[in-house]
Parts: sequence; structure tokens; C-alpha cells
Amino acid sequence: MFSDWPLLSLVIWIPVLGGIVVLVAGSYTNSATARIIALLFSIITFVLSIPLYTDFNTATAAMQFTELSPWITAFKINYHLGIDGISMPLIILTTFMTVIVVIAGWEVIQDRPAQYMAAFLIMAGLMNGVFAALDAALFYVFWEAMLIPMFIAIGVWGGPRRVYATIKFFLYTFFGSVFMLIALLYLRLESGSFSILDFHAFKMDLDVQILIFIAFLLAFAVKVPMWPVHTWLPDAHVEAPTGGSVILAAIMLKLGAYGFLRFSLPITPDASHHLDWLMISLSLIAVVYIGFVALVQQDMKKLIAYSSISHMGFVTLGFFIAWNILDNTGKLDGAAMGMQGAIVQMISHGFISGAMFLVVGVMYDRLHSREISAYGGVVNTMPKFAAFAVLFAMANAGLPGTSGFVGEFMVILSAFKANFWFAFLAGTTLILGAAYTLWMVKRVIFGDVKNENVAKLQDINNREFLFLSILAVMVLLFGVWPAPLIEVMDASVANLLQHMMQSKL
Amino acid sequence: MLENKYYFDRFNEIFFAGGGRGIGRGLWQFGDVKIIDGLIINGSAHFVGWFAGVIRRVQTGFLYDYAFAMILGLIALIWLFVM
Repeated sequence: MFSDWPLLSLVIWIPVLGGIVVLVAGSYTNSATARIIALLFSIITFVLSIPLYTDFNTATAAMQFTELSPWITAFKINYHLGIDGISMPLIILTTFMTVIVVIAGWEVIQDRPAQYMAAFLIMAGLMNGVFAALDAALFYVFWEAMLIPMFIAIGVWGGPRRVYATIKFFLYTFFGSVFMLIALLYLRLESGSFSILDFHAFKMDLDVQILIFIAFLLAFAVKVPMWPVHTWLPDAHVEAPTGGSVILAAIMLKLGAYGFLRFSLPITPDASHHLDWLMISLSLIAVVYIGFVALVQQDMKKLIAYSSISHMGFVTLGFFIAWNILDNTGKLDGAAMGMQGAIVQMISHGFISGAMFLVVGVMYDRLHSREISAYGGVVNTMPKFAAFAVLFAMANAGLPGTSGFVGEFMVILSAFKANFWFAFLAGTTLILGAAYTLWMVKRVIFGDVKNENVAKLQDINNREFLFLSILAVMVLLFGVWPAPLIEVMDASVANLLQHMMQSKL
Repeated sequence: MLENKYYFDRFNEIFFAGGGRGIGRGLWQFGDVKIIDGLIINGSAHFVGWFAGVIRRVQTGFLYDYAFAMILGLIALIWLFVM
């Protein structure tokens, strides 16, 4: 029954509609009603996204649940939606994290809660749109549109430097995206259609491909974020409200990586091959350099932000070592493992960094400070919370048994087949990641109670226990059983690799 | 024997941990804060502000200035089309 419904359109527009309803409800009723309506809409959207998994055909790499209708016929822009094994887990991740964020922001946001919930609901719908769009103009509209609710979320409910941080975030990411628009317009003029699948098949010369690749690179490198265009992320995370940080880290960073998978790699495979050394270098710099920078942070959210950048370095590394692996081994198995590891890392990092920001948010709600020096010995007064905090910290460091290990392990193994030094440098994350995470845990959670503020802390209430335990279950589940995730992406990854290895010249 | 163990731990602490922190601080303050944030990001923003301050003097508000600019433009266009 479900597969007759236009599920992708529902998953996109019901949260947007829900956001509008919540906005109206906020003006006419009290905030409690608005929150309940927001929770209802987010749960409905999550439930609607489940058939995307259960009815998914893992044997084919073709787009599924497709919807195609003409939209702006004058420019041949269609309303074309569809998902494959790469975008489907990301859509479910988005709807899932939206529910978590609505629960997490329940009583915490006292000032204009209806608008807060509405912003996140609308953002969820737009992000689903980015993942599902198969028409380049539609993709671009969703891509830019989702910046607006995030801009507002950071700018209104954020910390002291929120205006600087949100304008920096908006202009920085917008700057990159404009180059993507130029590339998309060029592709439209040359190929005659806006369909992304047509772009995949469109042949171009190497120098044209290189320019298009660089245009896409600017957009996606800022979003992922890659070094050196990463500096918007620490500021945005520090100043954003907890829910904003969670969505930013869990979903928005993955949009950049998804862009590489959907645009850069299939549309410009020769340029990607030509410039893979650049991408690998930037990814390894992200892993090592940013790992060191994370070590010396005093603000917990900034530390986790830098840790996010470092983990996303793994994702981009897994994408671009494919050609090196093929050259060394002659088979695509290793490259497939690398790419699958990267995508698993995307999903796992969504859960883990979301959880870590929620952990910091729980502490911030009590003491209104994110400084490590303000805390110490939290385990004495908040033991249940400390258990969750340590679990998520271990997952962040990549402990086997948690989902953080699976992706990193697969990428490092594949990197060994590409080049020993890639694996060596990528493997330093095992040391650096453990160093900065565990040091933070030691200073904040363990030890003696540091000051009277910590002594007065209350342990987590039922609502906080709920969302932390749900995330803990997901982290452990995918840590010991990543098979359902890997199964769905297998065909799409294999197809993408085939496509990447064929020259388009 | 105890002394030996102590020295290894101290060495680890000073060289690796302190060195790691030192590299981190260096990379953060110099690379991120000064160069990327200071020079490129805020620098470009400051440049836009400075440039705006310079360019706005073109808007004098006096009609003779605008008429003069139009005459110069006309001469330039005629020169371009004739030559």
C-alpha cells in the first residue's frame, strides 16, 4: 500500500507543511500545543520514511520511488525525485534526527519555541529535498533554501557571537554554492537538460571537466567541510543552539559529501581522477592537522566541531582513493570497501556527533558554560549522564563495537591498498581522536567534583534519558551489525565505481 | 628500576603529549586563527568595507560631476567604435 504513495514528496513537504502549521499554532495557541504538533509532524515524517527502507530493492542501482512531473517547462526544469542506496539512508537519518532534535529542544527553548520547532521542521523537509532531487535546478533550490532556516536558528537562538557566526556560515557556504550554480548552468546549456542522470552520461573534455570539478569542489568542500575552508564550522557550532548544532553536524555536513557522490564523481570522473591527489591531501590534512587543533580546544563544542571536521576527512578520503586502489590491486573490491566505509562513516558520524552535541547541550542547559575548565567530576553528581557521555566519547574515538569504528576501519583498510602512507596518516586519527576525546572526558566527567556548580548538578530527567538512550542504541546497533546499512548501498556504490572508472573523454 | 619507569612516563608526557598540544596550539592559532580566519575571511570582509569607503566618494551628488562622467564615457565609446 505504501509504495503507491508519492513517499518522497510526502517526506519533503509534510515537514514543511508541519513547520507552517506550527508557526500558525504558535501565534494562536500556547507553546505547549505548538511543541506537540511539531513532535507529531516529525514522527509522522519519520514513519513515512521507514517504507523507503523496507520497500527498497537492494538488487538494483537504478533510482527508486521516482517521481517526475514538469515544473518550469520554459527552462526544461522538472520536479524529478528519486533515491538510490546512497541517498536513502541519509533521508532516514534526517527524519530520525529531526525527531531527536524536537524532543531535545522541548523545554530548553523558552523564547519563541514555535518558531524554533518550525525552523527545524522546514529544514528537515528541505534537506530531504536535497537528498531526493534528481533535477539540478530543483537540487540547487533545496540546497540554498535549507541555509535559511539554519541561518535563523543560529542567529536567533544562538550564543553571544551568533550574528557573526551565522552570517559567516551563510556567506561562506553560499559563496561556494554559487560556483556550483555556474557549473550546473553550464551543464544545462551544453547538454540541454537539467536532469542529473543526463549529466552523468554527458561527455566533456578533460579541461572542461577540471573546471566543472573545481566549481563543484568549492561548493562541496565548504559544506563537508574540508581544510582550508572549514573555519565556519567551529564558529557556527559554538554559537548555535544545541538542536542547531545537532542538525548541522548530523545532516548538513553529509550534504557536502553527498554532493561529491552525486555530482563530482559521476559527472567529472576524469577530472576527479586527475585531481585525486588534491582531495586525498586535503582529507589527510583534515585528519591530522584538525586532530591536533582539536586537542587544544578549551570550549567543548569547538572541540567536537573540529572532531567532526576530522571525521569528515575520512569520508572524503574514502571517496577519492578508489583510483589508487584500482591501480594497485586491479580489482574494484578495495575501492568499494573504501567508498562503503566512507558512507557508513557519514551515517555513523551523524549519530555520534549528534549525540555528543546533545551531551554538551545537557551540560550547557545546567551550567550555561561550555568551557572545559568550568566542569570536573560530573560523574559524581550525574552518573547516568556520565555513562552516556563516556559511551558517545568512546564512539567518537572509534571504539570497536560502536558505529564509529566500522567506517574508519573500512576506510583505513582500503587506504592500505592505495598507499601505506595514506593509511598511516589516516590511522593517526586512532591516536589523536582518542587523545582529544578522552582528555576532554577525563577533565570534564571524571575526577573529583571541581566546584560548587558541579556539586549542584541534577542528573538527566526522563526526556533527556529518552533521546540519549535512543542514540546509544543506534550507535551500538550499527557498531555490531552494520550489515543492513551496507546491504542497501552495495549496488549503488558498485554502479558509481563502474561509472567512475570509465573515462568520459 | 622505579626511576626507569618514571623517566619513560615523564618523557612521554613531555615529548608526545606536550608536543602534541604544542603542535595543536601552533596550528590553531597560526593556521586557523591568523591565516584562514584573520587574513582571508575577515580580511576579505574588511577589504569590502574599505573598498566601499573609497568608491562611495564617486557619488558626489553634484550634477556637473555626473555630466562630466557622461561626457568622458561618450568620448570613450566613440573612440572604441571609430577605432
